[in-house]
Amino acid sequence: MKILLAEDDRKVAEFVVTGLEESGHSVDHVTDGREALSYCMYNDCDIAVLDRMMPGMDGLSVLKALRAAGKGLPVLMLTALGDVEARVEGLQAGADDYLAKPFHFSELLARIVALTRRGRETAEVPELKVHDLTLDLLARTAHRQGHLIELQAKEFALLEVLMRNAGRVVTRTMLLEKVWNFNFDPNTSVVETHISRLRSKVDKPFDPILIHTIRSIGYSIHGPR
Amino acid sequence: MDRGNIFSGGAFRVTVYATTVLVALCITVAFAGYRYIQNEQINQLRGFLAPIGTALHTIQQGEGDAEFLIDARILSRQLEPSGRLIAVFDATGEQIIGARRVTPDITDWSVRALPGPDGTPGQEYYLTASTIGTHTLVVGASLEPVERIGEAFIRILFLITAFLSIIFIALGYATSRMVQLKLERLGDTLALVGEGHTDARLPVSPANDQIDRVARRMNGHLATLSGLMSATKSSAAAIAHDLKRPLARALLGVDRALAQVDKGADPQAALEDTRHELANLTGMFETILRIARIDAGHGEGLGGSVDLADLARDLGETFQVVAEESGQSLALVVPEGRAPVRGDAGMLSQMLVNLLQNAVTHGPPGNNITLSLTCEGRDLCLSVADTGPGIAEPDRTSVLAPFFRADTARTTEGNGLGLALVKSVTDRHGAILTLSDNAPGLRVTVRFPGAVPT
Repeated sequence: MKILLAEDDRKVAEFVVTGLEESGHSVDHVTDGREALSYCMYNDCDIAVLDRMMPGMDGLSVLKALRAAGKGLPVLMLTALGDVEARVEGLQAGADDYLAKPFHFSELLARIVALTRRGRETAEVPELKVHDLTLDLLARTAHRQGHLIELQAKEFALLEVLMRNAGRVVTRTMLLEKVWNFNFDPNTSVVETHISRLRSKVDKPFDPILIHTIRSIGYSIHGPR
Repeated sequence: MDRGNIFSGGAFRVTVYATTVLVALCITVAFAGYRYIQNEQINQLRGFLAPIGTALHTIQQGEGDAEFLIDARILSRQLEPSGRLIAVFDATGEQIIGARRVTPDITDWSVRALPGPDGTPGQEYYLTASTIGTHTLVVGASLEPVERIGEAFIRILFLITAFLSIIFIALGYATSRMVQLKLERLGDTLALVGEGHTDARLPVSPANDQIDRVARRMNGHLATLSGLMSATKSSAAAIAHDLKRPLARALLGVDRALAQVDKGADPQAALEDTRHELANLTGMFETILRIARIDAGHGEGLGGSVDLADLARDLGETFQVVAEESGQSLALVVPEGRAPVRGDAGMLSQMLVNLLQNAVTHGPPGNNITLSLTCEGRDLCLSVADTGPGIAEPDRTSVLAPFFRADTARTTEGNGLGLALVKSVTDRHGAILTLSDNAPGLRVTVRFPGAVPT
């Protein structure tokens, strides 16, 4: 996958470029907003990661210019800590996702992967399936090994997010955003307790275990490998 | 004290203007008055002199020239000492009556300077001439008394003007000086405040004049300012203190990891502890910045509409799970239907999360939490009550300050910022936050005034 990174902080850029390349992606790095814009206009890439504050042209203006020019490539905005309120502004300008600095590298990777997959999986599926677990999105029911699993609304939403990203890491922050719509870290065990509930219903009575904890990052749902 | 400051003072300048106007007025009055008095006096003179001429004329016609001349001579002698003048000339133009030399070539009333009988410098006389038989009669009067009265009038007016001017200027100077003294005291006090003596207050005199009223208001502002400054100082100290702990623990974690590496052991656990501490630290910064951002937006309108009932139901369900996991329970008392308030969904959601999480974090197993939404008159009240340890009465205000943690809460999780953020959000929404005794436990109520439509 080809990724454009527009980031003027050399240390952050180095760290991200190394990490992405280690994960098998090809990365082009620019340090200036205008460079980022002309790169996107004349080159093809799968996703652009734009820092909000950049010399030359800020990330938001680059994004607006891109959208105005009809470029629909996925864009992930990076922002400084505490700037989360500006998130709405970014999303309204056409950003596909938003990540606040400092971030965990795996968080960035998980979001990049989720964003690029999204494009390919837009066709709405009526049912999600992981190993022997099926989630009926229309009837809003879950079945495993022929048994109906009773799920509460939040548990269902949680399972849906995990299963839509089956085989990939979903971070705690992503779950807070997608299931609870929190754009802040509530400093609570909300995610942990709900995962624990979900496990007791989805995994405990059955074998093998499907929901896996990725320590200090998040969770992943997948069948035996 | 610099005299220039007094002379440039408003009070002094006003009196100078007033005095100038007074003097100009007096000069005008003096000029007009003098002219008026002179005219009046001259009219009086004419009223006195004209009948004399008429009387002498009647005598000459009735009783002949001899009688006329006798009477004229008598009158002349009698009236001369009081500054009157009666002179008679014969047909040849020779003055035959009257001590003062005069010429008969006078046609109408006119003013002449006549030399004195012994050659003294001339005095002004007001004169007229008439022909009686073959003689010419001149009657007149000295203008000296007229001038004396005019001069007296001017002198009195001058004295009054001078007296008033001096009083005005003195009063102006005194007032200006008093104001200047007060202002200098204000300046000195403010300079003291500027140097860091935030407890300095402006003197307020019992006179309660404009300056005193301004001083009283400034004192109010100074009190707020010094409150803010001491709050900033103490919260800066608290921030430093509270941020130092996780940093110190993170450092320890790194040291431990390095030691593990030296020993050839796996440093993963130590590194994960470190990561946890640093994540906490980031969270604290995030919250501090968030509070600052919410506070900075104070006074700006909040565009959105948030359904409190929906928010309470949604978060209530989520925290029911969290509470049950800690051996506690959460009851949701939210009526059917919508309860919209103007506000920001993200902020209100975080506010309620903080309140619910606080109730769970500080509550023991068996804690009963109630999340309720009620209408009280036109106000919407969102409240979170628990049966936990509660907050002692004296601490209920201080828990709203950043980093404050009641002694009882020192051992539990949390960064002392949760309620500070709640306070910022409620302030931003014009809502009223109250902490009260739930007997036992704590009840936190957020009241949205006037949110219920009529």
